[in-house]
Amino acid sequence: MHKLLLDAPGKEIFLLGNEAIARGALEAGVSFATCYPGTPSSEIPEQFYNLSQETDLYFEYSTNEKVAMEVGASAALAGLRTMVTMKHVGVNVAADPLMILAYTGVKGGMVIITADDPSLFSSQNEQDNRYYARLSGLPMLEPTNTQEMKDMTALAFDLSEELKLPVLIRTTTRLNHIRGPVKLAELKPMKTKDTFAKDPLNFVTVPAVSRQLHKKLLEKNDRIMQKTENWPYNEIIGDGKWGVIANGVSFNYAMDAISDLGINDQVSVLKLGFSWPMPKNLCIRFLNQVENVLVVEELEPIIETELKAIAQENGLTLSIKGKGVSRLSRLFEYDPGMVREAVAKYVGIDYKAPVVVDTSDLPDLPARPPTLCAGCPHRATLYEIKQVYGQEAIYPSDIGCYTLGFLPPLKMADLVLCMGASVSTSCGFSEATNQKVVAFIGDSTFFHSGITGLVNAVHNNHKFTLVIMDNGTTAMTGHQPHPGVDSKPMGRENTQVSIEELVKGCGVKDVHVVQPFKVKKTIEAVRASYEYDGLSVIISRDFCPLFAKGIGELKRTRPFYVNLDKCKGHRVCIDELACPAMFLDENNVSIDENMCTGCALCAQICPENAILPVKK
Amino acid sequence: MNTINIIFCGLGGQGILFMTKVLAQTAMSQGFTVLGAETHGMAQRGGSVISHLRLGDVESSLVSRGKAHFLLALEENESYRSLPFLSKGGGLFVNSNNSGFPREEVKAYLETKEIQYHHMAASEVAMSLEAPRSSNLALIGFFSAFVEEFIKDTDIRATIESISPARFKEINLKVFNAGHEKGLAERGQL
Repeated sequence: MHKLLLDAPGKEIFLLGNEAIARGALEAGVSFATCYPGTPSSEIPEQFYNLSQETDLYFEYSTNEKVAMEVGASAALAGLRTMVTMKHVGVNVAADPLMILAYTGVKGGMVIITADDPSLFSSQNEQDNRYYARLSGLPMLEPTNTQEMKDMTALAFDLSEELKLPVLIRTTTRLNHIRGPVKLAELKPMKTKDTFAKDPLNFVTVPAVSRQLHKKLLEKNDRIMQKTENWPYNEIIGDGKWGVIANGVSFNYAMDAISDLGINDQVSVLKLGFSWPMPKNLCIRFLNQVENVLVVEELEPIIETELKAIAQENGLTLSIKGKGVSRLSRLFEYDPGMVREAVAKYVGIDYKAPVVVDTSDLPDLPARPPTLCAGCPHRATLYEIKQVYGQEAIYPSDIGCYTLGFLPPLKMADLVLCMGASVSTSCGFSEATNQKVVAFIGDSTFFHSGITGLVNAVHNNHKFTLVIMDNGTTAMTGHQPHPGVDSKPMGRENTQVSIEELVKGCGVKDVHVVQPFKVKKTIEAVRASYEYDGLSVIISRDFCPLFAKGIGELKRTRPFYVNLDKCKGHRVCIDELACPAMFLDENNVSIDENMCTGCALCAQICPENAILPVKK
Repeated sequence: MNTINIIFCGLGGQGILFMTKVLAQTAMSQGFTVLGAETHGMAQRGGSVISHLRLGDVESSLVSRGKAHFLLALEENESYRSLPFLSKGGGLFVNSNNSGFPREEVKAYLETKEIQYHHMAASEVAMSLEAPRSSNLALIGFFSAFVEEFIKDTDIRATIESISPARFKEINLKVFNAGHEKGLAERGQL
């Protein structure tokens, strides 16, 4: 049995933040869940995927976040309790339906998780999605620990049904990936089917209808305000004259700072767990009981700005500060030390920060960025393209493991914007320059949002080469399936969508399918695309070795070794491929047999044929 | 001590999350309040990975610099990178087969900070048992020989048994035991 199905109210278990969210949804009787995976949200749908094998929960990995939002929206409009999860930039993709859903509202509770990523652990930006609550008019909750992640998720479903609006829950990486104790409550039964009740004057958003719906949304605001004023996780703690306001993970840092500094009796803390709309009356009460305020919030000064407006409306002139105090900035995530320093400075107490650790005598260490794994087919593909197109071509890349190919020695990425952009930006580059253009996109990302760009390229006759790197899975986010995946091993009827048929169906005439570890043949195909005067697509196909190992598909081929009698020390292998299985032993290139997958890429490019399979 | 702060570090793919989980579960079964913070996603492709574990009555899951009681490193260079986390008098446990450990340049730092350092060839121990990917368990076994006053090796064994996938149970325990033996031996020499 899945551990999140444990029917033991009152029992305390140890959960990852994302597991706690999934458990909260189960305790609310969620019966429908959709997502597009993305760090730091991915472990939520991972739970749902496994749970859907054991229960009546309907779950799908949708092709992208917009699709996930729309599939989920219809389930919620039909009356089911529905959860949709995505990372922060996923909400950009899903923003179109999200904005309109705020007008139509929902019938069954609908909870949307936006997992933000301050400090950009695994993202291309660190946008603050609290703005989406303001933009859409939808209420937003922000838990502070694993227990609240579970409890607030369950409460969010009730709130959504009561308001007939989707509810946004915003988390950050440090919440998604914390582990902590969670006291379980009862699991509610699931309602897996309902009947959709037609209501065109609320659901068909032609201008005449939407004018009324916008008005209705604003009218709901009074009820949302009542909710936020009385929300159990909006509370004032303490009654000191120094005010501190915090949300999310910053609340924990602030509480620890206050007790570390021993100033509990001098401080009042306002915790905002229902962060939009802000509980105005509670804020006014707070502003009246303190002499000044420090706002501790990561990223944008949103609470700070709105609090200043509330103070102004009420003629309160106390000092409200946040960004700029000590090291509190709009950049990156906070940490306990920063917050401790800021609180100490703000209160003006004689606080001696722990002696700044003098690390001048520590050795200079090489930075250790993430890298393509040993045996990764992307390394082969990128190398082969480079042999034909050289350094002069423009290489728009996309979101996935292959983005790591931008690092030396491969250096095969010149622009990365967002999911699917490699294809469309190639359209522009191919017209705006006389340079050759080669776009890279992964299989999952191609389905996510590469197809429309490809149709555009065919229709507008753009000339470039698109390389679809099909490793059979959504690798970077943890090996989720996508439409191009053979679903038979998952116990389902095969619903695989063929990438080559799709590409041909879009109207592409020059299509090559290659196996990237066959270096010579692949380079021939790449050369054909180079010489073709038009749009070419190369589908480069081999399994992600991590994924293949997980599903037992990794053919256990013999690892390779460097025969030092033959090796003349050109180091083409290690210098051009930078495979992590290779290392310099004294001055000789050597291969770690435990890491080598036997892909034979290095053996094929060695000018001396000095890299050979290990003898049995 | 009221709170115990532990930092685990190494490279993506070395099993840092599993190692954190083993100690966290064990501490929890002993009645500690436990908070952990992990690195997932892109950082797991061979990059530097740090995991935080806090035992005791605290709100934040991150360990501040200069506040860690223990630092467990699965890779020597990563141990140096994370050294600033260690508090004065903290314990450093490193997977390294380098007889020259610690590097000359850090000795002064370790000395002024009164850091108790130990290293063991966890990868070699794991390799000799034909479990090259289990150096994490060898290092926990080693560490467990030094911290009996707050966490018992028998309890850690019980956790490993309960959370290891069935096919890895036996080998995981074997590697842990081998690491523990090494720890006891090192301790005996003190």
